Amino acid sequence: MRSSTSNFKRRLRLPRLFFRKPPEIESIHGGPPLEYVRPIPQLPWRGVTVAVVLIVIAAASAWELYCRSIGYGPTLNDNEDLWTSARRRAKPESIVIIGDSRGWFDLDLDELQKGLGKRPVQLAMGGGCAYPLLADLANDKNFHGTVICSVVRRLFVAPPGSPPMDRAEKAVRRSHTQTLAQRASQYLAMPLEEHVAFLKQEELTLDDLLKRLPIPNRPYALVSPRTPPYFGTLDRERRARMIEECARPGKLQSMVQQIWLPLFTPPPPPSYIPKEEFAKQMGQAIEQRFHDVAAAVQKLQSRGGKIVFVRLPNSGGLKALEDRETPRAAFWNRVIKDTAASGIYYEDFPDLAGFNCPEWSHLSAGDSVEFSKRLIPHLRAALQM
Amino acid sequence: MRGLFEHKAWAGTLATRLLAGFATYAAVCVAWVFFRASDFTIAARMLSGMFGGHPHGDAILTTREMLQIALVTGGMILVHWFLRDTNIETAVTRAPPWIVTAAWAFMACAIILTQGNSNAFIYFQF
Repeated sequence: MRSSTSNFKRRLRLPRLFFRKPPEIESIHGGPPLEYVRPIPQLPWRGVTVAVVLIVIAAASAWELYCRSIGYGPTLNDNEDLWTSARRRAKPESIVIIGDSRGWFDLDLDELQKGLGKRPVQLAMGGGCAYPLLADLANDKNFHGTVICSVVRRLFVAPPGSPPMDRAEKAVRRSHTQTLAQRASQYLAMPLEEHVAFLKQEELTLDDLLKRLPIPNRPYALVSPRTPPYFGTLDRERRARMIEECARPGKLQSMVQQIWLPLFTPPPPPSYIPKEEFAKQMGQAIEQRFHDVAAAVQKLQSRGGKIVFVRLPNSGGLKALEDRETPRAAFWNRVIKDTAASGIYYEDFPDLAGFNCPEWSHLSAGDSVEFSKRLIPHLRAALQM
Repeated sequence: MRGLFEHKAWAGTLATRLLAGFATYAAVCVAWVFFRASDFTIAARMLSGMFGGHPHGDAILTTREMLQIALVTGGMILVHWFLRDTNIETAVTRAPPWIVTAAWAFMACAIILTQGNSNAFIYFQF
């Protein structure tokens, strides 16, 4: 009876060369790879392995304790795979939240579920542009639900190739191309991230730690402003909550406040293009975005979908900067006019206007619940529910 | 090439070996551009920059990134140099066990600290 190996060989129809026994000359150590046996160095491997395992456990535990002692806590990392798992939960008639980190931190899913009758799916993302997510929903022929879109001007009109657009586009792309391995990796990572504080993909990686080295840059170097440190947690539904240490006055709160200012300040134009030309191109890109958003909204509405744009609270120096750089009349009014959709600007309503953002950009976890409760009547009116 | 170098006395001198090593490294760096660039336009732009084509380009690298690249590249060249006439198995056999333990533990800790995300290895991204 033929062995299964022989059948396998025959099926592959490989030349005999692959399976023949190598002659003596080919068996010499270091010869052709037909018979290369990698020598294993003579070392006390068992002892070495035990020592390495003990050292790694001790080092990882010490690092975990240190990270917790300086304020870090376990939380999920927001990445394309976590976003994809939320996107998968969006059903044809779902309520979905899209946009930036204000929609992420300020809207409480429990309160919105109580007030709107359905649990929303959280698809907003920190530092992300809303447009790719809106376009994805508009192009999804099955989707005819309700979209709550948070609007922050600098992120909303971020040009193609910019970090906010890249971030959102990557997430949308992953939701269409996610492999089984990526999906499995996410499921394996979640229990770990929920218990280990040092697993922070945008802050405590080796590369991020090296970035903190106090090495001065060239005076003309174009270095992107730093992003805020850990100040919120994220659960499996992607509900973000500000941590207590950031909600109360202190070092972390003032650090995050001062980080927003350079992040919300436009970068200098690149040197390889004349300033006027750059301004013209940016103007065209913004016009194109208004046009694309209006087209996506129309597409969504033509299938019976609904959308409401919301401007969520900001405070302090950041509010002054945003009001100065991106005046309401030039932007918000234009979005509402072009799309003919409903809009809720928090300053227009006394019950929504009195909230203070501790770090100037987001509500505290407690305030986000109260804010969401008060937002519901306005949402119901805007969506004619 | 073999005819040019084989059995020549000058081929074994330190200067020739350094020069040959540098030429190989430079050739690999040029080949990498085509390997990584998404199209020939970008590859041509990158190659032009490598040969001084953009003298007034924007300074987009931080000093830390440049130092890091220099250190890693220097380290890799050094390791290649030491392993030129031997192999990793021999080097490990000769090293005392505590050195192997320390190197192994260091690499394991660096992997944990690097916290790889779920991106596929670059060869699988084409």
